[in-house]
Amino acid sequence: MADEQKVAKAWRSETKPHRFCPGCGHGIILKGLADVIDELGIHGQGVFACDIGCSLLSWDFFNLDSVQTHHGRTIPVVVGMKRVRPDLAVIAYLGDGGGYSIGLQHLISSAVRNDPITVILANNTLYAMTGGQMAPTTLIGQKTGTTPYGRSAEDTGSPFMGPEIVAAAAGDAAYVARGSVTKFAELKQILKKALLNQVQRSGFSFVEFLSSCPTNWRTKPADTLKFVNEDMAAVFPLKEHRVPEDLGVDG
Amino acid sequence: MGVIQGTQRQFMTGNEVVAWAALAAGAQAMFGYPITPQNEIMHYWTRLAPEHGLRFLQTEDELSAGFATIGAALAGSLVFCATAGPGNVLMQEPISMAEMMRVPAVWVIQQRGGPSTATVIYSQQETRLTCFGGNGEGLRIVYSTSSHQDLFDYVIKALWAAWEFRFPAFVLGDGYQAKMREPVTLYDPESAGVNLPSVEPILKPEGVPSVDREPVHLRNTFNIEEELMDVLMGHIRDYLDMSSRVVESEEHPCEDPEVLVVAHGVVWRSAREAVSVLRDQGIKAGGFRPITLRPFPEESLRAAAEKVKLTVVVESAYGQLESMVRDRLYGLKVPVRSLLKPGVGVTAEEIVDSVIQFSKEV
Amino acid sequence: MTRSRGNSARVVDAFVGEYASGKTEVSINRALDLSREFGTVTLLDLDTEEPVYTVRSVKPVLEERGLEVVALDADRVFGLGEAGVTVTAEMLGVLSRTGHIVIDVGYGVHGAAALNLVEGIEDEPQIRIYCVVNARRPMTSTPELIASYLESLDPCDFIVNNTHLGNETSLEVILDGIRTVTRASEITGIPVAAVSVAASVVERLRLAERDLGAPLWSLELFMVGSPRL
Repeated sequence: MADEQKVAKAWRSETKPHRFCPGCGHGIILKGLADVIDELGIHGQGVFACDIGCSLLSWDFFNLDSVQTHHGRTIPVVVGMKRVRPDLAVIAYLGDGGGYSIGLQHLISSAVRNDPITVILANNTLYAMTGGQMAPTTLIGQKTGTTPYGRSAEDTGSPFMGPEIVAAAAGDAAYVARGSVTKFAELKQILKKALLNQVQRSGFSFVEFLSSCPTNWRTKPADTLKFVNEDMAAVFPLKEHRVPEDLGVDG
Repeated sequence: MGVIQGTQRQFMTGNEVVAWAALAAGAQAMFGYPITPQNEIMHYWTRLAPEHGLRFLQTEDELSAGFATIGAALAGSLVFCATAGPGNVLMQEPISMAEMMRVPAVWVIQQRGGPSTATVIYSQQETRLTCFGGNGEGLRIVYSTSSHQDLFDYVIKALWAAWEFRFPAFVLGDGYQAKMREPVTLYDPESAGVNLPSVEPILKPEGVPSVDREPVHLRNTFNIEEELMDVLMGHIRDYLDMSSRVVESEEHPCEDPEVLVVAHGVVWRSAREAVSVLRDQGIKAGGFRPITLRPFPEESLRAAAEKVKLTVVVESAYGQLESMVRDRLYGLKVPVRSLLKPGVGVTAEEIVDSVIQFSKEV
Repeated sequence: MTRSRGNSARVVDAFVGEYASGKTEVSINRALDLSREFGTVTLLDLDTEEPVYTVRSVKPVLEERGLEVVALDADRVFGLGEAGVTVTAEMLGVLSRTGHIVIDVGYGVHGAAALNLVEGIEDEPQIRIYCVVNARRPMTSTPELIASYLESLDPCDFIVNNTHLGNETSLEVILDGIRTVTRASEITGIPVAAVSVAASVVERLRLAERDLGAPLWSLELFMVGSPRL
């Protein structure tokens, strides 16, 4: 007499519990994504691609055909897929290292081309798995493996404003937004729009979520949430930067 | 006045040794990008940086790390870069430039399993890539290390050789060496009488261009085939001329050897041990270790192989060292066999068993 | 300055220290020692940075010796340093277990702050933090360097002097190490809880017969050989 759990079709039970650390934002984003894929009814078309880094742990997360690509090269791979199979709903899943550092040129180029793809990026301010090195989104003063004395703006600039820059590069047909794993309802709405913009309007979508990494931040749960909601949100505002006028979202 | 006072025997991991060796040699700058298993080189370099006035930048990717390293070398800085695996693949673009434009830059490679992302642990599968990876003729100096002392000695030597001969120079380590812990002697190279790099700006030396001196104009594009060949043959002649000064190998010889075991890098440790075990068992084995893979110690290898009835190549790759050996032994009648374990370490026992097996077959 | 444990209180010992200082070796041996004296001991591998040379790599061996080992299983470690040295709820909830607990904290720029990940650590009255020091490593090779390390990266309750030079450890290395670490202890006011030495070296140099200024912890070595997952 087991409880009948309502689980999204896209959510692959065989690979649960997942491998992410307790308190990791990836699990939240991916769960939201599974729900939204089901709600939009696009399970049949979806193809999922992930980068190198903690995002890699999502490679068998879904009941979707998936491919793990090279570091920073996830976007070109899904662009290639979509060019020859426009019927697919392609999703590129990245971290801030893959998306804003080694893969930045691909992100910008794709935005400029208005490639009809959906790019989802989890921002946890560092290269978590290779030992916590600095990332483009590392905050000023934040200590990392390659900024052992704290990041200095003088030396390496200020934290990278991804959606702001992508919004400037993209056109009116794009959907660009930033949300947070601490605001789940909004997160799902953002994901929904990001996917609809591709399947309904063949437009480019890029969404960033402020994400948590207590393992590398070495923070207790309360401090983890504080870092996301206060420190990170103060630097990375939560908002929709580009919303195409005719992007309809069903309830 | 060196950073290291006297000689100190210390207990260290390989990556740390690299950072300290570069520091000891007077290196001023490092560029890099995170990739396992070399990250600790960056971690230690950045920790040492403030006290010693060192420069560091973690660039946006390996391409930019390699090109920034080239830029720093052209500007007259003693600079190095480090990478591994897929990062090494990306580095081939800047390295090709360094080859053709004779840029004195140094790369430390900590090999991991390949191809592509594969494992972060270990292999000897970047041997061919590090020696010949660009779209050119492999005009590179490549040192393959097998101990932490080698890492220390050859990082210093690579920095010297790059500037002395003006070819990109490499220290080819691997993930095991990067992470292993063992004693090593840190010393001040100058006090030890070791050659120190002699560094000068290639771009912007003293003087105002066209006023005090001719401008320096560097290029690597050619209009006519013959022009390219002229320039390239000049580089190749320089490369061949320097080979005898640079080439290095090591042997674990015995009298009247019958079998020669050939290995490089960390596998040499097991090969040496295997050779001793074989001798104890009455098999006259000798060992040969190329230390420079580029230029390859062909003469010494042929001299060693001529005497034996069987050569066994051992590597943690699928034939990368073996093809180099076969190529260099061409014409000799000695049969060549191999123990190939791509991405996996090789023990002395495995080598002993292979040699015995091959000896029966040949 | 020894926190009194009381009669029934359990031991919660955490080991921090420089990269490759010997934390893992010392924590394993501490756990084995405690288990010989007191019964159930849980050893937690909290190293999230190193793919190799961690407790995880010898978990089966240690379990055979009667330790409870909480570490990621090798087959759950996916892609290793690229994507998979994660922590589990079981690891973070270790303090909810009964019995004594030893934690190998691993290295990183945040030092002992890694303990923040362990649920309830701030309320654990028995927690003692030991900083493992090998004075034969460049970053911790002088009293001043050690003192500065203890103060900035890894504030702790005790020092464990693990000075050694691998298989070249001589009496001079040991005695020199004791001098250096003792001086660092004087500078910082942090007491030396023990001098830890490989068992074979203890025997070879007859260290048990000497006064080393602190209790001698004889270490059985587990982290030898090629790096293992």
